[in-house]
Amino acid sequence: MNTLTAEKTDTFCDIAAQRKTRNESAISIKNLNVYAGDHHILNNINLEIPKNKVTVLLGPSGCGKTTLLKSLNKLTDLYKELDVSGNVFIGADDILNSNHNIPMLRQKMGLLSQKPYPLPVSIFKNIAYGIKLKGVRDKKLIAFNVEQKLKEVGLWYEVKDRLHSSADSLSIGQQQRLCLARGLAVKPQIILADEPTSALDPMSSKIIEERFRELKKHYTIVIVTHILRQAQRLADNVVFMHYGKIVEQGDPEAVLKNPQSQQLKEYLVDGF
Amino acid sequence: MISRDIQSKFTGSWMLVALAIILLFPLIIGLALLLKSIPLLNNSSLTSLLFSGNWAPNDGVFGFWPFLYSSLYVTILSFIFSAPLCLLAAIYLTEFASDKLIRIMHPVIDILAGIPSVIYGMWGIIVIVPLVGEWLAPLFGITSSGYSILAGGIVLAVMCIPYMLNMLIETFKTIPYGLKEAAFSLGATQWETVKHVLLRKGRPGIISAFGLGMAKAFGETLAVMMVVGNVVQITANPFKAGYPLPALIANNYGEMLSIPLYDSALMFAALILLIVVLLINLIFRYFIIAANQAK
Amino acid sequence: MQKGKIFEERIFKVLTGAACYSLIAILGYIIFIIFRKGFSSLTLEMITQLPSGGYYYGGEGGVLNAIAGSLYIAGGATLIALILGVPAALYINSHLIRYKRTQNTVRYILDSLWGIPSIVYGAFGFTLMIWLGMSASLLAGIITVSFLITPIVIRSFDEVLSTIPIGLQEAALSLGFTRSQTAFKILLKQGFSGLITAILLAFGRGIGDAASVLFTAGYTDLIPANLDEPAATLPLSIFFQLSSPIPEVRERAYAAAAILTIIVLVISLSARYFAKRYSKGNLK
Repeated sequence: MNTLTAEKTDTFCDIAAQRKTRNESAISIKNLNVYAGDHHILNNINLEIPKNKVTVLLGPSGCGKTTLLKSLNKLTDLYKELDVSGNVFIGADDILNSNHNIPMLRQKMGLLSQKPYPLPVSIFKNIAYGIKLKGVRDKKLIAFNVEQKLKEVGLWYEVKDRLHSSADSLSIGQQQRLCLARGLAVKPQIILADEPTSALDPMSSKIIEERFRELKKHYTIVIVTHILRQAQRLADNVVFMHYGKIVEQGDPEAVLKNPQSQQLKEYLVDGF
Repeated sequence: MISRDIQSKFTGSWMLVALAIILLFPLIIGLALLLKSIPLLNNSSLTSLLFSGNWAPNDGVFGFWPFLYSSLYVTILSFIFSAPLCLLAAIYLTEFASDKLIRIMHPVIDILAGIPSVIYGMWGIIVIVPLVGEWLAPLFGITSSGYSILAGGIVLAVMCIPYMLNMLIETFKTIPYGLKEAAFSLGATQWETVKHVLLRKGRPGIISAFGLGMAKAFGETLAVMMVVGNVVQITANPFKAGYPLPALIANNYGEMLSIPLYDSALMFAALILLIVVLLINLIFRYFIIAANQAK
Repeated sequence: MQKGKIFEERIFKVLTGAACYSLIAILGYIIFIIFRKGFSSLTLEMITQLPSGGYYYGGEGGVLNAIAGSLYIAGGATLIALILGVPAALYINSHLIRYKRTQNTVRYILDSLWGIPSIVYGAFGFTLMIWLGMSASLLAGIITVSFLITPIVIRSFDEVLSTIPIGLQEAALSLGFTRSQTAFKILLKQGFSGLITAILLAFGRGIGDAASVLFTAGYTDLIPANLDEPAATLPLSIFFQLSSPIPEVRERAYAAAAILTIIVLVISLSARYFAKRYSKGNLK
């Protein structure tokens, strides 16, 4: 049984943060520290992300949840000012310290950003991109996969007649679903989502959330959000962060209805 | 005491007037040059001026084609030499370079941009002309003094680099991180991200940088004049001398007033330069704006 | 498949890096050559003396005429550029602040102006000169060069001004300042470092440009004592000496080139220095 404790002896952290979690971890984070100059963004994070469950990273802005998410697939490489140390195990591979094939390890995870970023190509090519990167050449296979993924996110019937038009022509809600389909096309095991509905209208948000509920049957999902009701709706596992540390985590029922720490209590009061 | 209101109105109007004057500059210049060119235009047709290769001022015959040809040749050569270099360097600086290198490159680019034309020309005479004449030409089995279109192209290329490089870096910097993150998380390597995202998304900016760089090369006077040989001829051989349009104006202003219509001709040449460069600038800069708005 | 990718990535990393370093090498080489050739003939009298009668045949003297001429012309032109350019840039950022489209159009035109070749300005200046009945002189040179460098002053200063937060202007306006007062008292103060950079850039351009003064400033061995005397300029001085058949004269051209290069280097580096100081000590 894995029980997780927050590290520092801040007020309530030690005892309060013990909740039982599932056995199987999709991601194992050990001693993750991220600095930007002197600013300690992530402070000794130790976390297990359970398989096939939705884990929600919650917390006030600036607490480091997005940085944590981006460390999981080593996107922190893009930001030269970040100093990252620690281990992030995806299965047996430590993505942070692996010498070979980080791109391939990244393909085990799919990313959905806050704003949709369609590639500057057609709808079809957006989804085919990841597939081709894996080395697939068979045109029929690629086309089949594209159709399948578009159907999975409920976009197929809306775009099937204009697969080769530019992805820019889609509405924001459609673009976000496109990005989801694109991420799924590389057949990841894990989906990382950074506030995936905050830029969308309520209708599109609802669609994305529905997708997530279905997707968790087959994928492990990690969502960063600041919408408490969304956390309530989707989470199987809640992780509350504050100033770079994990303060509380566990069952959403337990954590959100019975917060133990002062920080979480304050956060919930403001949020609800 | 002048009231604050009147004072303010005065400075306000002065600001507007100053701005208006400056914006009207190209028009005023164009008009003046056009006026001076009218005697020439009355004398010969526009097509014969632009496309005839016959240049005999003493006989009153002015065919500008050899100069236009030289200008084009030298500009295209400078583009071929500088564009790939600038593109590669810009990619390195935005994607792969360390902070220290970036900090060094900034003053390097500034200084390169600030070096006067005559110094580049001098460097061209000391280094490039012998390079072409004693090294490159024999390699191809050609004899050349070194004062050639090729030398002009190389010197121009070096002069264009700081401008093109700055514009390219600007373009690449505007590409949103989220797009690169998306490519990374799909499993693309850094170079693949450059190929598929940076170069694709930055295409309008890249094309404009190239176009504007060429516009600058087209109008450059002194440096090219010092190494290009200044011989009126049309030849495909880059090891031979050429005579670009700005050099024509600069070399002959002394004789301008002694031969009839010569001054009109040189003013006409300046008018061509103005129109070409201004048009290229207006078109390419508009291109960037339009491309940015299409998002 | 993977191996091909890694190979391609490595090659391009090397290529792009090589491109970058070669640019540094090119600059280093240019400066090295100019200084090496120039310093050997650089003497104190080059800087402090006027050319004597036989100077262009190898006689005594220096290029003080050109140094002074260039400084006068660049200085005068920068002054004009400031008088026209600073108000214009301030206007764009204060009175036009609400009219985004006009702002963008004006900036677009100014950017295009920056690209006009200096020889066009020279030809125009020459035409103007004749029309006004002036002869090749310091004044004609100053006016022509000012055409060249005014867009530079405006756009550089404008770039800096546009980063000043609008909130500052709004605060001033709500305190009762007029738009013009906001422009001169607030924008100018905040953007002052940027103004210095713009001045330096423009001055540097003015001092190194030859094509614009070729027809308009004339040439002389003396330092002009008033505005309608001709003036020598460093770039032209270098150019003429370089065309001489006498080797000693050519050597001195290199020395003059070294002088010009030093001036330009100092200007470029201090412009960058002031640009940096702006971004540090400023209201964010």
